[in-house]
Amino acid sequence: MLPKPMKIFLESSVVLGAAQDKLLESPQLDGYIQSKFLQKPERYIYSRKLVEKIFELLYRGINLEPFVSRKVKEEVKNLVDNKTTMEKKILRPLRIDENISGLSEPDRRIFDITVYQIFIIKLPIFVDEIIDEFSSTFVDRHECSQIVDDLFFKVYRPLITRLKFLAQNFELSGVSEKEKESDPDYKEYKALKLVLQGLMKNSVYPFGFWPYKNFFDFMILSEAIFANMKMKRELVQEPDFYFISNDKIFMVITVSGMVYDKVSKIIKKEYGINVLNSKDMVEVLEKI
Amino acid sequence: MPVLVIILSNFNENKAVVDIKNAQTSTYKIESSLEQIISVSGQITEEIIGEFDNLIKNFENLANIFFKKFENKYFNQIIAFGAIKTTSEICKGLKNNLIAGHKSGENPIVAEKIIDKNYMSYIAIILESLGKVYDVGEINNEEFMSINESVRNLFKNSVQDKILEEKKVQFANKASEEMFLSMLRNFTNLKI
Repeated sequence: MLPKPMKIFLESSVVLGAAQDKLLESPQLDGYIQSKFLQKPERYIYSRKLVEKIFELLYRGINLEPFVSRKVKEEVKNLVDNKTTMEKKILRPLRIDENISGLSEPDRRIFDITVYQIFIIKLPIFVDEIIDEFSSTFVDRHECSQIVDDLFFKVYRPLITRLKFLAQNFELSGVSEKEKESDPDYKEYKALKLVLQGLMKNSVYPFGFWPYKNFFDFMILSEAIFANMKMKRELVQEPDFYFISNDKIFMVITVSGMVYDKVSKIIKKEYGINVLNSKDMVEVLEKI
Repeated sequence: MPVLVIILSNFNENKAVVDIKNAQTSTYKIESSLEQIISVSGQITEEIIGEFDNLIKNFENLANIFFKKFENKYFNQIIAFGAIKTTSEICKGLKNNLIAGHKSGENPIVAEKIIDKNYMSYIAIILESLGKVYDVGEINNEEFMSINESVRNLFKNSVQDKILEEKKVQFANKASEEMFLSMLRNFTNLKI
């Protein structure tokens, strides 16, 4: 029996990370600029490894398909065309501020123009070129909107309710820090806070109202769920479907020794999708 | 001392406005000269090369002014200074391209390419946005998009037209680079 085809849905953070990591090795950044003033976040390194690994497996004739969706393209465009997000999500994680502030004026000029050309001008062009190499799936907007509701109510609302319950216990109870640390639920509380941070930031948390429909990560995952459902209906052999993201809201995280993988487990159970970050997906592909 | 500072800052302010206006005038003059070359004269003249020199000089002045202006606004400094210097480099490339075209006798072909690919229009948009940025003292998202979109288009076109030489992105590990490139060659037309 033939192995199952693999469908790999790449979320915007993965595509962007891969492109950034590759551009970080541009000869324009040669010498001391590269090592002293810019850093490589781990997620970029693994995103690029993942994209390279996918190309390698395609070259070897392995039955896999990397793809993106309309929202992924839209989000990438939003990120690179918006001044605030460009600074916050792209340039800030890269630069080593304490070293940059010590640069002389002529060096600062060289640094500025190099960073501008590589990350503000070349990055969006390069990301577009990478995305063009992947398949793009058609999605039904109406159906996706229903999936977003379903996703929120089945996966995230119970977690938010749990977080609120734990928050009451730990933040309003007057329990000492030492006592909290020894409580096993406290690890779960910290993990949940970390996972739901992005969603909470975009919401009016105390009143229990979450404008989740405007949340890009949900929309992108709902498109992946839709694509998986469509493939199951249309393909002769059901594929192994992977949703790859480096965003905290989907990630398996470790807090004080506790592995928190509840989100990915529920998504797997409810929708049959494997949610992995770039690093874990590289490990899966290495075994092929 | 404060008087001197005020005088100097006013001088800089006026200078920025003058440099932007001069650069705009040069841009329009170059554009109409290029159209003349295509439709009438068929000859690249000393005047158009001189106008490019003026344009480059104005961009270099603006680069210095904006670098100082945004000394304490780091991201603004990168955008303004980076965009101006990149545009200036592209102008130098365009000028050299015209000179080469004149030498090889391909005057109208070179001129037509510059007009067809809207080089001068993008430069005009950048100057217009820089004027607004200078007035407000801040790069808002609208100007960020307008400047970057124009520089990106200029950059893409000038790499395609070999006006600006883009260095190849290299991998640290040569073997992985070659493997990656061969994969891309086989499966894609990705330009890197």
